[in-house]
Amino acid sequence: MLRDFFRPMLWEDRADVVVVGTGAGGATAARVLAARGADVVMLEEGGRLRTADRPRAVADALAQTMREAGAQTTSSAVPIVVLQGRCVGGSTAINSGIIWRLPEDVRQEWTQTRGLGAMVDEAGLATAYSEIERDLEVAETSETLMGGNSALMAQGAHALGLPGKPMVRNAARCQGKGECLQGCPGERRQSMDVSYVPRAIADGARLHTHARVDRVEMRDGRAVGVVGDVLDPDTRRVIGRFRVLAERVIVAAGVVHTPLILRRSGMRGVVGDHFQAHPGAAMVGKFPEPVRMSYGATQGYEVPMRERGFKLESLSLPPEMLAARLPGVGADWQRRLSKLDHYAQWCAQVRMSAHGRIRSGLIGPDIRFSPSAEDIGKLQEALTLVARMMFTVGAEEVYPGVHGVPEVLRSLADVDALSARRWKKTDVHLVASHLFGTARAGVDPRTSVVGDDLQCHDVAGLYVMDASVFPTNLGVNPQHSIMAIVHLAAERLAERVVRRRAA
Amino acid sequence: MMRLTQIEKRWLEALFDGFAPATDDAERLAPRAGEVDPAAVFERLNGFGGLKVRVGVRLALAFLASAPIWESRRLAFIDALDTEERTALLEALSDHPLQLVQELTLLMKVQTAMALLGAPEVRARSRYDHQRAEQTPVRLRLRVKEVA
Repeated sequence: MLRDFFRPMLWEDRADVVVVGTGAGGATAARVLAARGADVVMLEEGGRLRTADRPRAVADALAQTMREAGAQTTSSAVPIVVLQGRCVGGSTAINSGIIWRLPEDVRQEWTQTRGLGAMVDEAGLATAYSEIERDLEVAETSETLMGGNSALMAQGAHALGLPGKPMVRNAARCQGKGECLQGCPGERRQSMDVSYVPRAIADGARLHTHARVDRVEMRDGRAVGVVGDVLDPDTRRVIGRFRVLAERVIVAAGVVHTPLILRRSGMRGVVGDHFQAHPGAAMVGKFPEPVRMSYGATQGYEVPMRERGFKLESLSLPPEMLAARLPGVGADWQRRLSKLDHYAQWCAQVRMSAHGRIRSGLIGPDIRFSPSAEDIGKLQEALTLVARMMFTVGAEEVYPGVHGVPEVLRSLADVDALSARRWKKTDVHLVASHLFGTARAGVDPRTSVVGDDLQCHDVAGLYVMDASVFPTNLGVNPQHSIMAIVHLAAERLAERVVRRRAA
Repeated sequence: MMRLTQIEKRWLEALFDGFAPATDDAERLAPRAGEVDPAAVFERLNGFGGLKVRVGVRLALAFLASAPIWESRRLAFIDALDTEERTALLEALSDHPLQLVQELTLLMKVQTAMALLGAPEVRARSRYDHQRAEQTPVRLRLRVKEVA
C-alpha cells in the first residue's frame, strides 16, 4: 500500500493472537486467551481513559469516548444516530451495563435453522454465563437504586398490568450516580475497561491504544497479522504506521468497523450486508413532584414485550441531553429548564425487521438502514404505550418528539393523537445502539462470513468476535450474549493456540 | 481540532442568545455573564468528530445564521437581529414546514443545551441535582389515574 511507503513504521509487535477492539467481544476474547496462556496483543483505536480522567460534562465525554462524538449516523435524509464507543472498553464503557442472556427462542432458531449449534451450545453458554456474571458482578437493580425515573416507570407498568421488572446489570455495587455515559465515577459498573482488559493485561496481554487497524495481512489464504495507523492521542491525526504479526487475528471492532476492515483486506461476499439493529426513540414526561433523574441507576427498569417486537426502558439523561429534549425556544424552553428535576424519560427499542448494509463512504462509513413500515408501526405502538404509562402515573405533560403530532400532550385523552395516523420513518428521531449481522455466522460460505467457530470461511486464522457474527438481532440488549458466545469460541481457540505453542 | 472564525463565533453566540436569552426572571433558567462559552463547547464537541461532522455542523451554523435572508426576506445575518427577533426566528424555524430546517434547528439547540447545562453554575440553578446526596429509596406519591 502507498501509505505504508510514505508513513514511518513507528512500532511493530508479535504475538500468538492479535485482537482488534476492546469492547465486549474483543476484551472477552483477550481475557480468555491470556488466561489460558496465549501471548495476546490488544489494539484499540481510542484511548484508555482512567476513571479520574474521564470528563463529566457530556460534550467532552462524547468527544472523548464515542465515534464521531456521538454524531455517527446512517446515510439517509432523516438519519438514525448510531451510538458506538471509541475508547478502551468500547461501547461497554458508555452503556448502562444491562445484562440479558441470549433468548432461548433465538438460540433455538440459530441452532435449528442456521446450523450454529456449536456456536450457541447450551451447556457451554451456561458455563460462560456463570463465569461472566460472577466476574462482572451481575445483579438485579435494587429498589434503593431504582431512582425516581425507574420507580415511576415501575408504577406505570404495574398500573397497566405490563410485564415490567428491575433491570439486571453488571453493577452490583452501583451507587446510583446516574453517570454511566460519562464512565461510572466509582468504577462500579464492570465495563471492559475496568474488568476484562485489566485482567488480560495482568495475565500478560499487551494493549496498544490509538492504533487504528487498516487491514488484515494475509499470505497463502491465511491471516498473518494486521497493519494500521498510529494516531496522535490529542489530535487523532495519523502520525505513522504499526504492524502486529500473529498466527491468529481476531477482529472485534464492532458491527460498523469490523466489516470495513474485512473489506479493506479484500474480503467480499456478504461482508457488510445484513446489518440489523434495535433502533428506538424516547418520550419525556413532566411530573408535579420532583422525579430526581439525577439519582439512581441510569437504566433501572424495563418492560420487555418481545412478542410485540419491542422493549420499553427507563433511561435517565444527563442534564445537557435532557435539556435538548424539552420543547420550546427562549422563555418557553427556559421555564421548562428551570425544573429539570421534574422529568422522566422512558424509551422504546424495536427489534426491527429491516436489513441494511455497511460500506466505506467518501468521508467515513456509509451506513444504510431504512426501517420498514412494520418497524415504524411497532415503534408507534410502543411509544403510545409509554405516553399512556406516563399519564397513568400522573404526568402533567408528555413530549412525544414526533413530527406531525402535538409537541406537548397534556392528558390521557391527548394520547389518541399519537395513533390518529400511521407514522412514517421520517416522523421520528431514531437512535440505535444495538447493532448486528455484518459478518454473520452460518454454514454456507455464500451466505455467511464465519463458521460456528467464528473463523472466516475463506481465510484461515482470521476470526470475527463481536455482534457482527449474529445472524439475526435479538430483541434484548446484546452485551452478555456477545460475551458468552465469544467466551465459548475463545476457549476453543485457546486450546488450539496453547497446543501449538507447546508443540 | 476545530477553530471557528470570528464571524462563526458571532453567529453561534447569536443563536445561543436566541435559544436561551439572558433574563432576570427567576422562573427561567438563563446564563449569566461569563458563565457559558458556546463557541468553546462547539469546538470541543465537534472537533473530535470526523470530517462529515465537522463540515456538517459548520454548514448547519451558516445555514441557520442566514435564516433572516431566506426566511424573513431581510438582508441580515442572525447576529444583526436583537434578542427577541432571534428567538422569534428560531421559534419559526423549529416549526418550519421543511423538516430539514426543523432538524438543523434541533441540531443547534442540542449544541446550545450542551453549552448551557455544561456550565456548572447553570447546572446548579437548573435543580437537576436536586437532593442528589439523598440516597434513600425514592417513593413517589403520585396518584394513579384510571386508564381511559
